[in-house]
Amino acid sequence: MFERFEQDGRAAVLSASRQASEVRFDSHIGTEHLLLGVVEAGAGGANLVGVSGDDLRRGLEELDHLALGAVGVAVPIESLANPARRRKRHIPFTSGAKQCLKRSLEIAIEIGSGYIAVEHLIAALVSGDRRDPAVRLLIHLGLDPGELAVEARQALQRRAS
Amino acid sequence: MELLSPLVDKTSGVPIVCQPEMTDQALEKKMIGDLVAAADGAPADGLRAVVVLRRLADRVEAEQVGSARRLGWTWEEIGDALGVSRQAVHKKYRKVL
Repeated sequence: MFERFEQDGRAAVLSASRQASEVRFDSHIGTEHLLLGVVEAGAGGANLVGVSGDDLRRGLEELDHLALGAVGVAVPIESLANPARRRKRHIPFTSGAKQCLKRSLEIAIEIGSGYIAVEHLIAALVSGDRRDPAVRLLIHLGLDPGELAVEARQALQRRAS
Repeated sequence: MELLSPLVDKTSGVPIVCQPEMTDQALEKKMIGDLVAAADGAPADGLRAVVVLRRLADRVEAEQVGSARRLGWTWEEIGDALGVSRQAVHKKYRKVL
């Protein structure tokens, strides 16, 4: 499937994998890492989403902190920043992330792009429901996934014409 | 979280304890709405908390095993303290420590 990816789309998925295994030390590549990937892979994705990788990573730590609070555990947010875990080289995608990659391909076919770029990935990422980790993170940072979906499609139309 | 922040009168900055213009019925409806919204987010937060706690536990374990080794604890003693076998601790930490 990755042969359909444009250079920036491929860079975004590679970056997502790195963010999951080496920065966040998570066991899977989820949609939140794909979101980090599209923002970190180049200026195009970062401009479109309108936040930096640092903003997203801080947002994830805040959500972790809120989640602990919800089950009655109080831990200083700073101690969530550096998990210091042994990293695994190859970690799998979550099923949500797989669906997102599939959805980006469907969007590319629907628009007639013939390739998958960061804009396709963003359009796919923002189409998740509120339970989706990437959508949750966007909402937490005060961004509107619906608005981002429109902007991603507009960017794709500009790229096509 | 917006849901939990107290309502504050924007001009005076005084927290609004109750809204007198709200009928009992309207207030009840609003409270049910808030409860439903909070309950919908509850599994997401709760499950996320499990992942974060595991990660924290892993980190504390690595730090404590390292410190025990530096203080001369044997792998067997550390395994006993953690409730796992000597081999299990050794396999997990011999390369990172």
